[in-house]
Amino acid sequence: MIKVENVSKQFTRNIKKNDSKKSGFKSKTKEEFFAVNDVSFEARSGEILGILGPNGAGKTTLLRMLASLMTPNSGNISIFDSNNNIIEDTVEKKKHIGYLSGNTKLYNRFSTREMLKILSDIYQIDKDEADKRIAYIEEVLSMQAFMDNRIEKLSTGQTQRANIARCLIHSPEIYIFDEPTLGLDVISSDAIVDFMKKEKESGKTVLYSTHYMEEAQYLCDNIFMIYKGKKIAYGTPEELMKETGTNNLRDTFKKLILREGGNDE
Amino acid sequence: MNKKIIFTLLKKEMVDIFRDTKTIIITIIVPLILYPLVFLGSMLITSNIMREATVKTYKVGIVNESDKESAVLKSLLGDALEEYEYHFDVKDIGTSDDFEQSIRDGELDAIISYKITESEYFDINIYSMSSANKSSTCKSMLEKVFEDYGDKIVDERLKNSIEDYELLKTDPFEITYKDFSSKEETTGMLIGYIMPFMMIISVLMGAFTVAIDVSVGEKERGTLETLITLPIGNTHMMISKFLAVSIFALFSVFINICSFALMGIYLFNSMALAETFVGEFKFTQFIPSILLMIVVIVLFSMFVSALCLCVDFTAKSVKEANNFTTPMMLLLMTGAGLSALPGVKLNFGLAIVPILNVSLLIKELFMLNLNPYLIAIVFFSTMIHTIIAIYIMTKVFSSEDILFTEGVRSVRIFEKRANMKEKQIPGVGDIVLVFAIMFLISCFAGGYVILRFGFAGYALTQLIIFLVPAIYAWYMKTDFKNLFSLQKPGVKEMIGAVFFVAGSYIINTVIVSILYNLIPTLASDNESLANAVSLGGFIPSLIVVGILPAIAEETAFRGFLYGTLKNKKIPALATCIITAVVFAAYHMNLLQFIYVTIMGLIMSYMIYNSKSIFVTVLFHLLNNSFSVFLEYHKEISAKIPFFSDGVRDIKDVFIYTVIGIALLLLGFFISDNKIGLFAKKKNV
Repeated sequence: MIKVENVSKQFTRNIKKNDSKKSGFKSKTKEEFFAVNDVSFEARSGEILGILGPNGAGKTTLLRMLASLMTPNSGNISIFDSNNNIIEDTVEKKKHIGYLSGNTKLYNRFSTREMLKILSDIYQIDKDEADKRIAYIEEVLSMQAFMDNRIEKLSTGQTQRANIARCLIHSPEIYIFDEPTLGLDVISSDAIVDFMKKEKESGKTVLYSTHYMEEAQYLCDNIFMIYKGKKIAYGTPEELMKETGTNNLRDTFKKLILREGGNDE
Repeated sequence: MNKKIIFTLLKKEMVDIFRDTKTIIITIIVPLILYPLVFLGSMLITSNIMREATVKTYKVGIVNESDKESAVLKSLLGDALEEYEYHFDVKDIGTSDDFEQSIRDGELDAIISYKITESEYFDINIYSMSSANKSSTCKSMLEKVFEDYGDKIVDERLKNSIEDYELLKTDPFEITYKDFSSKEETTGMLIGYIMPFMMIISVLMGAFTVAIDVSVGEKERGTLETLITLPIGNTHMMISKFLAVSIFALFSVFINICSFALMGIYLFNSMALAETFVGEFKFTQFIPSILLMIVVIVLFSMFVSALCLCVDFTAKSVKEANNFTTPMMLLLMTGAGLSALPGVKLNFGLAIVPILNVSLLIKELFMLNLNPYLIAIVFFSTMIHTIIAIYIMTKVFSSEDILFTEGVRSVRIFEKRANMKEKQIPGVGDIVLVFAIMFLISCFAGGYVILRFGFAGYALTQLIIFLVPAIYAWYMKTDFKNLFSLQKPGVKEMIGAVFFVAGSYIINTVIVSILYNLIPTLASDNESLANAVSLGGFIPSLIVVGILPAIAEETAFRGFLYGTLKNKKIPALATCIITAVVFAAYHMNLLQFIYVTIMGLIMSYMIYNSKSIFVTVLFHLLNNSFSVFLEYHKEISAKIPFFSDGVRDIKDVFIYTVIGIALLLLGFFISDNKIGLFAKKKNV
């Protein structure tokens, strides 16, 4: 289980603007802005929580904070283990989380099997257990054909499966997936969707972000919608559709964003 | 610290590095092939040039005016083949020919014309073109032939006119030479010039590419984010990367040595050097040197690796990292190259300068000058440098900053002044840059001005030390008040400073006396400074030694350095210690290093407590001025035996140490803002 209370994250960004009064040069100024602004929600075991929002809404920053890759400027993120005990230590937290995003690339010069072996050493899983685990993952994600090929030689779909294998090795309680089906063909993305569903059914917590509304509607128990760092909606897909008077999540999404002032990115 | 995790990560880094073909080519293939190629190539070329010179035929034109003289010349040039192996192809030409044109066209390499005079012999003109290689060689050959011909004639004349010519010709005395250098020493000197440079370059080459690959390279490839999703602490990650780079740097050294040794053996055998060396040459003499070198190179690799990683972690991309590291590499190579300059010898001052100390030590080791004090100091200071670099690497850079902010903005100077943010504080990189500039200017320019202008040079050096940080701070629009702690000092702190000066002066005198007794060689290091002080006269000395450093050095150390560090997420104690050690190292003198560290710590405390630079300026001013005063008023110091002779026995040491500490404590209780005597009154 994961509990998020009033979390905010601030960044400084360089803004280029044309300062025509002084000179023709572009000058840079720095501006503080909130990537995530006072966000609270909760994801229980056996639940898939979809994080939706347009590009630049703060989804990735939020997920990174949840995965303990980033520390929030304010607010609190609590991670609970399977016995509902709260975990304090950052390193310990990471042992309970499987995090996947477009930015978590794999080491090209290793094969999937080598990578999984190194990972099981880092997660301090003992050897027999690790071998069993690797065999199981190979089976589940049907990776037999390319387990021993270097990752640089794999196709996009195969690489994504290898990446998911990376998240599975320590059988975490919480999965955090940032756009896991982005750019995949129907078969590969269906495999991933099925995988998430299965993990949820076995009592895991799954948080995931996507731009595919149909997928989210089909998969998510709850939806958290974020725009310009702020929460704009939180509820089951049915609730959200009812609230906005639409019959699919796609229209719900559009309506909600327009209500907040449109997508000006 | 979990060793198993570090080992796993290290294994991962090493496999990753060794599977990268680019790295392998740069660090293994290149040195293995390059050294032999360069050496053999240059040998081939030289031998070719030499052969060409002798085998080639040179076309010489003789202006034929009279058959008799031409015949003499021709026979002379013909004989040259036997005597010097000069091949001349002689040809008659007419007087009306265009000499210049035929040489320019390469038809002839040189032209000889002669003028018959009234004497027995004729005068000779030689036409050639020094800008054409062949013509110029031909000219030198002809020169040799004719000079020898002339000498022969003179010799003949003397022989004919002087009876005991043969007797006169014998050498009046005989000279015999005896070289006391053993063969080991001669060889050692040769190796001592090559070895430091080779060692340092190979460490740099190894560390340079791999450090970039392991830091920004990983960031650019996107695997760094994957790495930090794993349950690894920041320190574990840094240490494993650092170890990987260090090991690879050593590997590169190993490869270079192998390549060099193989080539050395080849040259040794082929150049018939073997005969002269075999038998007498005792390789065993070099074993201690080689072992010591290995230890120092291991330390040095660690230092360079940590340094490279620090720099590379500040970069946004591989390209930027290359831009940052290349100038650093050049600087380090210069340090390595300096050791090959004649006259640069390892001393107590240079033993604490990074890079230069290592390269000088290697040189000395091979020249078989094993001074245990110097070796110990080089080891110790390299270790300190390494620890500082590792500390910065693990503490200053957190994985989150590296990954998600646009590089750690530790160098802020590379921006147009107009774009500088107002009131900013320099980064750690800025400190390194300012002190590198200061060091370079005061080492090279400073040394020159002191030589040129003597005493006034010291004043100029101080001016540089003041101006570099001041201008740097101005350019980046820093918050002067914060950075340089420009706060009105409190009265109690100023009074405290006087007690601190008194206490530290006494303690320093005790330390100096003890050290003089322990290591007498130190005294000579310190004499040059005393000489400098006594050169200028009382008032100029007071200004140059007493007042200027108090302003300039405080601006640089308690101002720029301390001011930057105090704004960083570094514990106050570490800031104080770093400032003190850097300040002490700047004095480039072992004796001063020891007691200036203590003074530096006191001054760090003073600025930490008072938050005002004027307090430390006062301390510095009083301390230095007092030294100058004693130097010029020997009659006063003579009255106080403590200042003229230092401490003489254990009893003295004890008494003066107690007095010194008492004065320091008094200063502490007067000025301290937390537990001092006057602190509580103020609060109540």
